[in-house]
Amino acid sequence: MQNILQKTMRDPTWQLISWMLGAIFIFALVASEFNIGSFSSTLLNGMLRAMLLFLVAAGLSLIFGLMDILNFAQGGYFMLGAYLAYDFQHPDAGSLTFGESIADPTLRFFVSILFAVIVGGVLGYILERFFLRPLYDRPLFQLVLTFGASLVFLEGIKFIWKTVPYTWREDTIFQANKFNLFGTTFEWYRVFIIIMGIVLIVLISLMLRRTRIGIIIRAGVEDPEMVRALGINVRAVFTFVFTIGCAVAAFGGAVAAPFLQVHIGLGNLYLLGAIAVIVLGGLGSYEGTAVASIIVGLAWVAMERFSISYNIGAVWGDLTPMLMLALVLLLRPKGLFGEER
Amino acid sequence: MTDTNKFSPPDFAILLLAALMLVAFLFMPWMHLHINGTSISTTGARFLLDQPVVDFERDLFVDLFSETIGAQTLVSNIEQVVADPNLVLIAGILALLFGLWALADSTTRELAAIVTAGAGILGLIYFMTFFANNRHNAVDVIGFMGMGFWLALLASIGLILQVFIPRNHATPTQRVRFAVQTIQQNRMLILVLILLILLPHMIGWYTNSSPFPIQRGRTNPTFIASGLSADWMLTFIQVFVLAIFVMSYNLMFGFTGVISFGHAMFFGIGAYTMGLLWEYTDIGSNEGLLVGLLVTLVICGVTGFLIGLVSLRLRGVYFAIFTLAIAEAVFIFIESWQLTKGDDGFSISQGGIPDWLDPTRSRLNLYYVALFVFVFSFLFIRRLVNSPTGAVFKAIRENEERAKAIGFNTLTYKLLAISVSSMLAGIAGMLYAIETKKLGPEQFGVGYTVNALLMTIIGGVGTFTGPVIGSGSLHIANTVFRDDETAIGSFVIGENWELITGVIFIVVVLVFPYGIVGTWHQFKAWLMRRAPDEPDPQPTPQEIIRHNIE
Repeated sequence: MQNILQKTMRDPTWQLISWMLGAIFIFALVASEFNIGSFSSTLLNGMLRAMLLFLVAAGLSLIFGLMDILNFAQGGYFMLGAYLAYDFQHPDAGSLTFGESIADPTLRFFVSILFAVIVGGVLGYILERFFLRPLYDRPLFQLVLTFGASLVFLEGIKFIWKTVPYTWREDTIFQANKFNLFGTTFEWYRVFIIIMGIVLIVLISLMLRRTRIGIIIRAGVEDPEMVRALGINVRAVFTFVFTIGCAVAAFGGAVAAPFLQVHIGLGNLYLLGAIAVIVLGGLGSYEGTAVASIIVGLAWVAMERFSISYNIGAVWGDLTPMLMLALVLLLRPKGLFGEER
Repeated sequence: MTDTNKFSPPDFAILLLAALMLVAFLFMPWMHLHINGTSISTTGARFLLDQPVVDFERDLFVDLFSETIGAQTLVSNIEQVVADPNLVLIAGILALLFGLWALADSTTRELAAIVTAGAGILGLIYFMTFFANNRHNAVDVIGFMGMGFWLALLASIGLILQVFIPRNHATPTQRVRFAVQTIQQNRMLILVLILLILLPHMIGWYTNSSPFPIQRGRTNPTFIASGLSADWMLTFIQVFVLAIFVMSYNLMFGFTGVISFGHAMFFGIGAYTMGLLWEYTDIGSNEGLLVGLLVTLVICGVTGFLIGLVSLRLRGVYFAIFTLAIAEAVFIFIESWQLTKGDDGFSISQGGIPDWLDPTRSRLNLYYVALFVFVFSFLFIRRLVNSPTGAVFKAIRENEERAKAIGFNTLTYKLLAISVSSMLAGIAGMLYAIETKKLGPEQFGVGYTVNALLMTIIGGVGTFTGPVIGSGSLHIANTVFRDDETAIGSFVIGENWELITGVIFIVVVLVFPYGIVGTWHQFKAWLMRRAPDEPDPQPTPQEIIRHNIE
């Protein structure tokens, strides 16, 4: 164990990561005007943002590593998850009224998350199986198609739920419970999401390292031709990973719906954040995605905090992922864990 | 098909038709007068009279040949003539186009090009000076229209010269053949160009609505563009602007194989440069146009270059990512920037756009300017892609590794394509700002990029005419359906037009990836294969030259 720790500490990549995290902590401290309560809530919110980013970016990264498709519709799945969960939870809100039959709001919340995940997975399956598969010999058009799919998601959501933003009204047992954090209140639900995100990082990592499908996926990232030559149905693996990736993104949207304002800019915002994450992590690298989502999430929230504290305009918070993306491409285009391209 | 070198009767008929149309349009304003109370209107001009005129109907065609004396006596009691010397402008544009075409085509001669382009510039100068003295009388109008005739004559002399100027490695017969072939190969384009030049006049002629500005009020006159002809002109100006934008996208996506998801940014930069320049500086409106053009070209070119420099050294997908992110960042920034009035956008105020280009006033002029820029961009892109540089572009699209292996620095070529493409998009944005006079952050938004992508793919990726056809058809569909109130259940077509566009997008990418033009080419190739008896047509000299270049 100590050996691994020493090795990690000597690795320049991990050193760089520690430097970046340190810089972000100092920045967050400055941003929260050296107020310990505000600082810790910034950090926790940053971790929360990081987990949501991870849920979008994990699918994006795995899909890219395996199939060389950057799924521009991933943000759409996140947004759809949020809308579905919101609508399921609030029967009076929109078009989904069958949530009414479950009286208990907490149980309904679980069902709504499950519902969002299933719909996201099914739509992901449809997109890969029927729309992307015919285009495997034309990679440029795959990119164009996912871009078009993101447009359809956006416009479809506009059609069903209109353009008004929704704010979560019905508190379940999770959202009602809050705790005191050095003078600021914080919802237990958010802590729960952070823990769940970390558990998911570990679970997916275990799936990739310990299971047969995980080995196939990792081999596919390295060399899909070789995997096919071994007699494995790579196309089926592609579909599987795409479905899981989209379902995870929808899950992220669903669990985030209670504390995010559900609006039509959500998809694009998280897509760009996730893109910044996978570029910083190194395209196709899983551990890179996990680490980078924490860095981007913390930096993003710290920047939002900073822009509020020092009154420089809320626009800088929204711009952070894009600025980070530009910086990474300028300074270290291969990302943290990426190969030299 | 047996002998492509022969000038076939159908081609002759097309040319004859074109020539007839040219002559007809030069004389059209003189053909007929429409009299209504105190105003006499022709398709070319509208005269307002002191006293109402009754029973006055005559053919002015005669007056043209009686040395304008007839016209002078006719208009002696006219207080104010509202007419634009647009015929001079048209002649100038025609000559300029011919000149540029001559420059663009490798088989025509430089001197002839200079003669025709010179004629064009002369025509434009006359046009400008005419507008400098805004008050003019009917006799001047007639004089300037005569000037248009002479300019057109000069242009045709230039064209004829192109045939007879010696060239190093061709006999006179070959020279004639070259010229004829150039016309022959581009006959559809020439026909379309002539149609587009005549379009406002033709619509005006058939609907009896003048394409020229109409005077309102006599002591303190204002000039406005109204009527069916003016409405259609606006639609076509929008089509031209979009076509320039889409062609620039196609240069990058269709010919070089580099995909950008943030092309609208350059469009927005062009529009906002123009708007901010007129709104916040005291540069005069005419100078502003020139300064705006330069600034737009520099900003767009440099931005495109830098974005490419950062992201193109890496794999292709990085460019798509980076353009999307930068465009989104700029969009967010513009949305919250004080100077650009944020989300609301702002209108270019009175006195910004020069009078001679103002769409509410002199829409016909804007129409011709937009048409000119559009044709210029078309020829420019065609020349660029058919040049050795363009051959490298296509090689990069087909297989970048191979192009690199041959020894080309592919990064340089991609950067060139992107810079040129960004500049053209910026110019399109400039024209857009002039056309709508209203600026908003949505011009930076993803919607315009989607439009460009969709129009490119619907028209045909990697073809010259595809983007034009795509933008024309989709824009007209847009204007028609956006206000459509037809509802299927709770689904209103007009409100959800973007959703339908998105679905069309996906369907086209899946089942129709070569677009209208590409599918047409495939269909023609299929027809060719169906008739094996016919021998292969001999390659024309031009094809041999093109082949050698490529």
